Amino acid sequence: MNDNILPEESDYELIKGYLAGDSASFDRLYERHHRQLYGYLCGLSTGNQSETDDLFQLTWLRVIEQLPRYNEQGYFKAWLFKISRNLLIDRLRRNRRRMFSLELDREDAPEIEAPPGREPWRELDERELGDLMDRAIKLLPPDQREVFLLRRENVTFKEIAEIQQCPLNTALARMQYALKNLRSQLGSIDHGKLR
Amino acid sequence: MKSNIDEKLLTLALTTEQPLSEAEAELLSGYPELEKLRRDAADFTAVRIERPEVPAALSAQVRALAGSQTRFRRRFRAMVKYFPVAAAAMLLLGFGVFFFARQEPPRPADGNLLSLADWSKLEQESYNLSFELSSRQFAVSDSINSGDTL
Repeated sequence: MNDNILPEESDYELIKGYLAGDSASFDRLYERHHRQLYGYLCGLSTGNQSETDDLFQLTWLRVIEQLPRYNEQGYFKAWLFKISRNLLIDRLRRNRRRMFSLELDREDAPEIEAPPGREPWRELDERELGDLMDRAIKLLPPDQREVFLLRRENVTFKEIAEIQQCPLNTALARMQYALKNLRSQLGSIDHGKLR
Repeated sequence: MKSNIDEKLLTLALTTEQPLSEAEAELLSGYPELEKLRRDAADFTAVRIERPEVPAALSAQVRALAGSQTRFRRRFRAMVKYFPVAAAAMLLLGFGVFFFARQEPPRPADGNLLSLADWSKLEQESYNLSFELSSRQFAVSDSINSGDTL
């Protein structure tokens, strides 16, 4: 085993390094979070790649602008996702097109009825289940989908509540409904396809 | 109070990264619905959906942007650092130019000459003086030539 592994720098240390003029610090920070952010944006999108790319770039632009005001107390990943979400909402409000299926005014949709006890998805391999999950996630109501996507990126519920600007209980309930809906959708697969 | 308990239990059930302690597992065991939820959370969030790759050009653009901001900040910082010195030098220079520009050119030692209206009198006097000087020079040289002693 290699004992000489240096402890990983925290996000805040990298931010401080970048603000002190070290652009390599930013590269490391970007390397740490860019795929998660891109995955989150792709999860919220309905397939418009250029729109996703544009939002991704805008998010980092805003991050670069606002880094000098970044608060050490905060959690960088949650801050990053929050900026991204706000930009997405701004864009939706501006053009009202449903390029992204995150509907703003919609409350949690009623959960989908699950066929009791049926879990055919457990027989699928990881890759098949991954593809299926991807499609099932897109069918979730927007708020539930967002909570699920954030949770998958290990954002805490407290931070999810902050990002979604809702009480903690609401964030927990959305995750609960998201899981139930996913279970239902995956329970209804027929020959590897969602019904 | 009830909502706090619910919140705690729900958080326990949905946060699957850490294994449950014995006390927590016992607490959850009284709620089969929550146990099922925890199993689902572990199953579904653990499924690694293949994350899409960020296009390389996009990453390059973001990095270039960050780099240009770094350069700008560095220049700005240098400017702020050296600003007091530069400002002081400029002030000194400006003060010097202002100070010397205000100084009047030196007047001739004899200011009365400039205010003299009748120059002919001065010329006459000057002529008289030089005539007297040259006639005395002649007188001296004559007496030397003739061998007279003074």
